[in-house]
Amino acid sequence: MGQNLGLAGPVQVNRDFCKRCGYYFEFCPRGVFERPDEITLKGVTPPRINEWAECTMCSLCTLLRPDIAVSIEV
Amino acid sequence: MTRAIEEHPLTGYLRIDRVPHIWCEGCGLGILLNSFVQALKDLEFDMDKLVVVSGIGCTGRASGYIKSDAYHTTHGRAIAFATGVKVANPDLKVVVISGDGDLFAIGGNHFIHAARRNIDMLVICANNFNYGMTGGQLGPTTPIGSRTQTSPYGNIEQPFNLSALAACSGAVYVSRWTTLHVRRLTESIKKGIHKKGFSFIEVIAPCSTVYGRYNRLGDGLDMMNDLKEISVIKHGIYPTEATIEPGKEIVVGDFVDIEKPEYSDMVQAFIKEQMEG
Ligand SMILES: Cc1ncc(C[n+]2csc(CCOP(=O)(O)OP(=O)(O)O)c2C)c(N)n1
Ligand code: SF4
Ligand code: SF4
Ligand SMILES: [Mg+2]
Repeated sequence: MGQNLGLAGPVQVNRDFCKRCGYYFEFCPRGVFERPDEITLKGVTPPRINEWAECTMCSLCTLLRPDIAVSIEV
Repeated sequence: MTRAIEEHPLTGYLRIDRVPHIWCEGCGLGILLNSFVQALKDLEFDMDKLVVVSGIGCTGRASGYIKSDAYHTTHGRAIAFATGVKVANPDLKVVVISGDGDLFAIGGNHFIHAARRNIDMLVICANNFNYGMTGGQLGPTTPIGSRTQTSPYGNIEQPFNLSALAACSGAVYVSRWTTLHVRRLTESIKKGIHKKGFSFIEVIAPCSTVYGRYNRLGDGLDMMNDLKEISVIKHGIYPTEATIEPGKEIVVGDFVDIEKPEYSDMVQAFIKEQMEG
């Protein structure tokens, strides 16, 4: 795994796993993610890390990600 | 900005080589899986001591993603199979993860009798109010009025309250959460893993592709936001009082936590007594 990781600080997004649930944009309490305009070949819009410095490592995103596409390095 | 990482944080608990999983975009089942593996990780659970059993359905696929011994059994028979595992080797922790149809329609009898016997196992049921895998038919938890493939004009059957059924059948630990309550769900899973006896956790999960579509509930995100609006936490109430009316009110919480003699212990004690006598 790990071929296609958008890395920024402690938050990692595996774009290959993403199916576009949109949960991170909605539920991250710190607004760390943004939804890019770009659509991948699979037709999804993997989250882009907007403000990783805001991340408190609360780990909510790693529980709410249904497709295991987001990890945080602890 | 791409870089490969050698090890995923959940390696050791999750079969990460099998991801992406089969579940649809926005489906709640991935969240249930996260919560379960996070609970195992938090407990540093010995994966050689864990057996995960599931039946057939979208939820039933969960066992295949967990890095322990796992059995994907026939439809409705997960608890019967799990009972055999536990009685044969009482040192193992047995967890059943399956759907509302699998556990309460075809498998309903196994459920009530395992609860009655109080055999040590944790049963986690993803309640998505329909048979997701086969295209969204009506099941035993489909709310009155809901549209499904087999109730296109709205369901007229009374649904089960699964947590109430579990408690009334004898379960020693009962809780209900939605996939939105991930942290609380993870804590309950940890309690359920530690609890000796028949434990039941009901997880209300969005099935965005079929149940959501038939009932025009929007996508997974809309369904999650709806759960946020209508769920009310009430710890300690008896689950017959825990309303479950999708679209109106869903009561969640830790409902039952009691002690009772456990079945596989009794089997062992009985065998010992007979051998000695
Ligand atoms: C003996 C038998 N009868 C019927 C089926 C068809 N079948 C497969 S999954 C399923 C229901 C699944 O519903 P549920 O347990 O709620 O799981 P979900 O897909 O909603 O997670 C049915 C009826 C089967 N596989 N085997
Ligand atoms: S760990 Fe918490 S704050 Fe950081 S990105 Fe995830 S949800 Fe946001
Ligand atoms: S059909 Fe429903 S339950 Fe099955 S994977 Fe899709 S959204 Fe999930
Ligand atoms: Mg179901």
